Amino acid sequence: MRASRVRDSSSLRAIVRARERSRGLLIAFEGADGAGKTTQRKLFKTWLKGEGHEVVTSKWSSSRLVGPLIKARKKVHALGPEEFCLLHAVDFRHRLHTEILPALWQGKTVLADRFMFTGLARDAARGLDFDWLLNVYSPLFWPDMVLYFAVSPDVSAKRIAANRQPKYYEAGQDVTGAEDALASYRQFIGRISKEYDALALIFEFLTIDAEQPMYEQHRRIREAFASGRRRPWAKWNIEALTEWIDAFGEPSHAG
Amino acid sequence: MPAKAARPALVAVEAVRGRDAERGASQVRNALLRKWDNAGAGISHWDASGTFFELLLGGRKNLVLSPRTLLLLYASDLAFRLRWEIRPAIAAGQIVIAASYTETAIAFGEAAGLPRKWIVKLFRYAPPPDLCLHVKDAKDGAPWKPRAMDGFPEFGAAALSPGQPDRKGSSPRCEEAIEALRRLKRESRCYNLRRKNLGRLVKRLRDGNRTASEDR
Repeated sequence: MRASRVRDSSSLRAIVRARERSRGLLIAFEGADGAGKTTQRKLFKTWLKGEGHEVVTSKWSSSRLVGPLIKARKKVHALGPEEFCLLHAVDFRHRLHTEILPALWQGKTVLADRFMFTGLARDAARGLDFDWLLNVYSPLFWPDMVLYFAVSPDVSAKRIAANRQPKYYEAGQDVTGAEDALASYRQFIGRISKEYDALALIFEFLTIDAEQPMYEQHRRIREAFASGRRRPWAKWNIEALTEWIDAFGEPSHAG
Repeated sequence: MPAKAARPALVAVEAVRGRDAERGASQVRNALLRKWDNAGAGISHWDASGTFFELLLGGRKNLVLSPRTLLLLYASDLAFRLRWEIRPAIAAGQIVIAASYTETAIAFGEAAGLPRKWIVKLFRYAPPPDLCLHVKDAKDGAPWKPRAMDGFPEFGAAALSPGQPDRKGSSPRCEEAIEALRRLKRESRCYNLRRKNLGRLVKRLRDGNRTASEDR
């Protein structure tokens, strides 16, 4: 990354347009806990690699900047709804700037195991104002494709309960106030699912029935990938991209 | 004559340099305690959450942050301060002096190229202060030393100046930020914090008259 600043907006747009064909694809995997996103993401990654794609994965709350800090504060239940939201927004923005966009500029395919929609759904379910949340995540960055693994709250709760006890924030105990983690989870996941369903309409998610057999879901993802179109960056993501170029300099070339 | 009952209030102290904000906050607190017998007054410092300190401690000293990430970090720290320090103290009837609050971050973010509208909306969760005070730059015109833990402007300048943290000198972006912070007095709703008007500002707080503008 270079620190030179490019201020002229027309030249910034020209850079974005020139890279449209060489840049990589961004595919986001979204859905409630227990929907099977990670399993499908791994299967799809293996398949993509077999097809000759260079693939990078970016996971939610994994940035080196604040990932460990979020983990430590969650452990001691120290986060209020606003701090929870803002620290995850820091994590997202930093990963977008330092992992996701550099990989995309280099022509790699990026699989995002949860994207900003996770923040929007969870924080809205925590009672934060949706308009404020959209501002927190602005400028929005639209992936080429958002795969939404839809699962009923009951099935999600059953799958989680089969393996482990939900964690404090995962169960939404900070907002439900329920003592029993699983009871709180059942309540909270219902709210999150509603938010996801609304987001699916607004952001044009491709919904995959996560209660179907695993192979069936994988087949649908491959189909969607084969028939999917990239969202032109100059039309959808120009604000986020020009801001990135302004902050970090002209991106290095693909390959 | 019985002492006037304490009135809860939030006082923002904003400055170009972190140390100036700390100095200004101490002056206000001392004046409050001196002139108002039963006033409970405490200072809410920048980075009370320890977020910025932890970032430096974790060996992330030389990282480069985007202005937006930087402002989100500030907002998360302020959310912590509001939750654990500011709101509980005000609920208990105390005066809280926030060093710094939102104006410093807004000016810094704007100078770093972020839209003012976005920053102002980001801080919508923070209640407006009852009184906003601006501390004059003690070393007006002196070379900038972005010592990361002196305050948010210093941390921000270091994070936006790759390869220069904790060193004498500055980058063009850092200079712009400083200049914008210096303009605070002219463009914001802050009062100038001066020794001679400190008594009047304290009186204003005590009497609940927080809208007069002769000191602006």
